[in-house]
Amino acid sequence: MFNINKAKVKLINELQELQRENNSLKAIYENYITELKQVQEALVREQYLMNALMNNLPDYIYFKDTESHFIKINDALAKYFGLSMPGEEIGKTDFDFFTEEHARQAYEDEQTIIQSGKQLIREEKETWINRPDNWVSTIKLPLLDNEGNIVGTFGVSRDITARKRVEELNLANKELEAFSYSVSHDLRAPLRHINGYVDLLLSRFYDTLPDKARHYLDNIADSARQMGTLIDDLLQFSRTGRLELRQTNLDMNVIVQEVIGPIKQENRERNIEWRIASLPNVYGDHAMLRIVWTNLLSNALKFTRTKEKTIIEINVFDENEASVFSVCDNGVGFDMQYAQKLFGVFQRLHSIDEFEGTGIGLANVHRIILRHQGRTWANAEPDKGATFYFSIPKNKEVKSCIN
Amino acid sequence: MYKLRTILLAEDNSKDVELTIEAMAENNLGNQVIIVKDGIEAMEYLRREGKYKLRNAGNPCVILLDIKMPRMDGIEVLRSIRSDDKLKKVPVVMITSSREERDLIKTYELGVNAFVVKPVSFQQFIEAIKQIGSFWAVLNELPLEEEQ
Repeated sequence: MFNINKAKVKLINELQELQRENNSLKAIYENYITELKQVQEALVREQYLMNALMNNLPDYIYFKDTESHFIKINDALAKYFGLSMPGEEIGKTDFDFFTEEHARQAYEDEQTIIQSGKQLIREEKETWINRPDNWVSTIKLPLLDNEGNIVGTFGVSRDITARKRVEELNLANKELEAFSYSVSHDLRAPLRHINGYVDLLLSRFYDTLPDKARHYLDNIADSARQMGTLIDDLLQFSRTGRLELRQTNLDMNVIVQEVIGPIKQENRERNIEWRIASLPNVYGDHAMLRIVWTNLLSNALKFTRTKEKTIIEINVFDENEASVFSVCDNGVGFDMQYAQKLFGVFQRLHSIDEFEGTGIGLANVHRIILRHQGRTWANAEPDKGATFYFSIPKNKEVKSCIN
Repeated sequence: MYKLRTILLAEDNSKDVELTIEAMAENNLGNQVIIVKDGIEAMEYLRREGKYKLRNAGNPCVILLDIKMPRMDGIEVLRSIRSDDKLKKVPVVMITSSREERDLIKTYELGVNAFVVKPVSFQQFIEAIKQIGSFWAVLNELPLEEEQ
């Protein structure tokens, strides 16, 4: 006895039941989708943050497996390694880039990290197969999977080559300073002794010494004096390269007068005509520029010694935002063929018997002017005098001395 | 009678010692000169310790100090003298081979009385010793020392 109504009700109930189940499944599904979206968003966000690190940080980041094969490196390191394709690093090791010595050290460090689980921080020199060394500050850590197993290493390195170079330079400078300090003390002492004993010999035993012996002693004393000058000049040369420039606004007229005073005094008996132009102010180191003028003017005096009348001219002109100073003399001059040697250390164009000197003066001038961003050059002709020029760039801070 | 006081000379180089004594002789400087070979010995003399345990009391009228010496250099000696109540008033003159700016700054900061660079020329050295001797050992007045 089929009851259609009963069947209908049952069917409706079943349908409703199905509908409910469907709804709840739908809710579960929607929920699942929402969660998935959230996870995906989180992942995208993580990825985005990771990429920000990996693509932009100038430091070098890498991940390696337990055998030190690269798993992933950041863009900076890829560029550093000279790799252009993404993933090109995979499977490579430090041995592909660095010298064996450096790669082996890195491999051993990473094995230590894997065994101990401890991080490692150090500053190290990287030696490459085909490029100059550089310095990095590195931190390396163990790479853990979700279960906490060590599956490799990762690390970050920062290039500190510039800082290391400065440190090395400072150290070299310090050593040089210690060296010249020791030279000035230790080389001078024996010279003093030579002079002292020669002097004592001459004063205490003068009457009993044969002429030849006196002549020898004179030569010994003369050489000792020469060596003394050489030491002093070399020390000054080393100082002008080392000491920090203390630049201020300077009146060149004042410096020139400071230098000329004692020179005039020493050469009272000579017939000298000075022609000195009015000079501008410069931005420079007073003590060092005084060395420049002292060298140039005493050279002018030295190489005019054989002339009956000496004419020394100091001039100035402007050229390309610089003041060019010149010292012109009417002395023995020199052959321009040797002009490029003039400003080198120990370069001399005259024999020591003809004109004394250590060959350091003009090298000093050159070095000081170079440190002032200027140039030095010369013009001469044998027996027709020489002109030495040096330029010093004009500086905004320098006001004209002529009001 | 005017009693000539002692000069303490701390110098490790025997040739420098000889030349200094010759220079003093050239100048007829009659003061007794005590020679010590380094800073440690200088301090032993000044504090009457070690081999100077039995020496008569009294400080020298001037201490001539070389800078570069073994064991204890002149700057260290100067520092010790200036921080010792019994010694800090004694005049100290640095006599050294070269003019080094940082030595000048350091020694003046520590209260040196004079700084003299030994001239390379012996004639000038004799002149320098003459001036140092006539000033510090003859002309200069010192406060009376307390009895020890």
